Amino acid sequence: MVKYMVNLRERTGAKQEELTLPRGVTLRDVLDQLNDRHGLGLPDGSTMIVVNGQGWKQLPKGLGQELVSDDRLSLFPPIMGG
Amino acid sequence: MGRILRINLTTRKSSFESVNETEVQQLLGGRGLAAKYYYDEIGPDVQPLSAENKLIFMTGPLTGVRLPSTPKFQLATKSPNTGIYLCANSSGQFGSYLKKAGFDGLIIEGRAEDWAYLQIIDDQVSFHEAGPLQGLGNSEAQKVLKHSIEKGSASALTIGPAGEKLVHLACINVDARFFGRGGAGAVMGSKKLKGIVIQGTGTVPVADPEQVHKIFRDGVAMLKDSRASHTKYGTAQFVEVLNDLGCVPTRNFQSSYFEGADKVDAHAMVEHYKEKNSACYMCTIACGQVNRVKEGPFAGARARTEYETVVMLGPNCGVDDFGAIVKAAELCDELGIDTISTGNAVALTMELFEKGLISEKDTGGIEMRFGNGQGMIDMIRMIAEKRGIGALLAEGMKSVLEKKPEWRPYIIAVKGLPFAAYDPRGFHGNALTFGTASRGACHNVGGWTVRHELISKEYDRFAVKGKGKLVKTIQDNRAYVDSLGVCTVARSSMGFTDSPKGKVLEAVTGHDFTPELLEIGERVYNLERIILNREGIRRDDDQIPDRIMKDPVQTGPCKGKVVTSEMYNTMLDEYYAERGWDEDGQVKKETLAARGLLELLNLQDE
Repeated sequence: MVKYMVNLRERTGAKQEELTLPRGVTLRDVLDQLNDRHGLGLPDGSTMIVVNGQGWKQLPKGLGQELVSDDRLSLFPPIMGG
Repeated sequence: MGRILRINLTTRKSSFESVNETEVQQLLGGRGLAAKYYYDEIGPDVQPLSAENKLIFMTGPLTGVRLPSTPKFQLATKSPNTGIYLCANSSGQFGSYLKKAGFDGLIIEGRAEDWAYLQIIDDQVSFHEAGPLQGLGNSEAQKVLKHSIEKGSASALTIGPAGEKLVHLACINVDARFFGRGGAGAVMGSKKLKGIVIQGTGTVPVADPEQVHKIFRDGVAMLKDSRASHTKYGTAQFVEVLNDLGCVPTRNFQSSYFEGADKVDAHAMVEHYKEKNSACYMCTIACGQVNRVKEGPFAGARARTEYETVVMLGPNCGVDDFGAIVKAAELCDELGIDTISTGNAVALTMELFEKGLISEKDTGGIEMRFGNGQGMIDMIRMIAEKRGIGALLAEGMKSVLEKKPEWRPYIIAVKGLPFAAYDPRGFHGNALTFGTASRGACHNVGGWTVRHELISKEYDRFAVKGKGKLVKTIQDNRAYVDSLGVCTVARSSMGFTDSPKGKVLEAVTGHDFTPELLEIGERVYNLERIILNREGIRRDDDQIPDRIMKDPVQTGPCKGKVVTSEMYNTMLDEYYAERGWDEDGQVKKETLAARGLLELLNLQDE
């Protein structure tokens, strides 16, 4: 499942969408698919890309990490605060 | 040379003095310089609500300069909530007007004989009777004070009825913003000072006006797209994100995931409540979201609601009615009490009630259950008016814990300052943030780790190793930002990041302090720790609440997570080592020397 949060909802017109992922698909493949569908341009250096609660750089294989249908991909704008 | 305006309420006299240029070079201004004045003038024996306590307001070198978002100025005082050093940060126009009046800082000392307000018009100070203003809510007090200046616009600091009653959670209203945490409003109330109105007709001088203007234009352009979500949603945008990650305090931190989050997130806010944006001085982001309740039991309520306010008066109280949150926020603003600490106190009351540890006898007949929005609003009044259990809660969590040690499992605070709206069981570095922040559990002063804990390649948010170094770095970063006078949301547009760069400081002051900024931040943090050590703070005071260490999160993505004592103290050991402090959290002499503090504080012979 892909969850679009904050202004990613406007950019995609959706709150979330389910993706059926073939075996062996990577995070980069999924992002390419979403880029084609919604024109997101990911990774763009600022949009947060989080898989199952981990930032993509923390995944063992980064963008090359294989995903399965149960995985949760969350996309949201850069967070800065305090 | 910079000037400080010093006003003594006892003698009704004011005076000017020069700032020490060496101190400015070492500490910049704002938070750093205010800490030095605190170190020199507010000793460990000074009681927070005594005439000997002072309110030290300090601008930074960028406060009031025509750059993206430069409204910030700082306050240092002793907190009645925690009994120790308090630093606080606010926007509003006051800092800019202080500069335009020809001053870098303002120190209020002594105590008025009868309720008073001060008028500052450039370098003319006058004292006025404030008896008729007693009891006024902040918005009315602000209007009265600003109208007292016949021509032109003005800025005002005021306290509400809670500050007048010396509620230890009371805040100081600065135009549309606040010095929110730590009870500074009660300090002002103890001085019988209802408010200060200021008008400055000068200009804020800069070294290179052309370069400053260019930086302003480039900064505005950069922020337009990169902060678009802040403009549309404000900080409330974090509700959805942090709930998804399992970090939103829920029902007094019993959980970190709120099932009703979509009723109180930024989408619900914008769709049903948003009236307009509000902007701070020179800010084009305008992240302030002014909300109005159009229908229902809280119709007519109007308030600006930040993330912290939404969560601490929403999910942490089990409340999923955004109208109730707006009403509660409006009440806190008018009465003049900190929404974060008040929300925390209300949540504590709800848990105690549900567990049968207090009854309707204590709550004035209110059924204080999680989710009871009207009950929350009624309890806020009780706290502000010191009625029933509200009288104890109004003393702050340090006092609550001393008087009711059996409530310890339910109290979520460090050094007496309640947690802000982040659950460290969802971001473990955040535990250290709350444990080691200079003013008690503060997500700003203590270092906001959320972003780094998500983007770092070295560790994830549940790791322990590396968090000591991370928290130290972010704290130093924030300390220099707070000493400059810029807003943290806009600062990267001027190069004020983890690796500061750019020509802003040179263009404004004529000196390029930029390469020294992180060193200055580290010096400021150590100065604050020396103050805290002098006030008796040690490792035991840096510990986090039992709930975070022993109670697993009940629901959501972080279900089952804890930050055990072993995990926490491992992070704390790493942090102390990075800081150059000993095992008990005291600054070592060699660290004082390395940070240039031995000379600055005249401690060479000790």
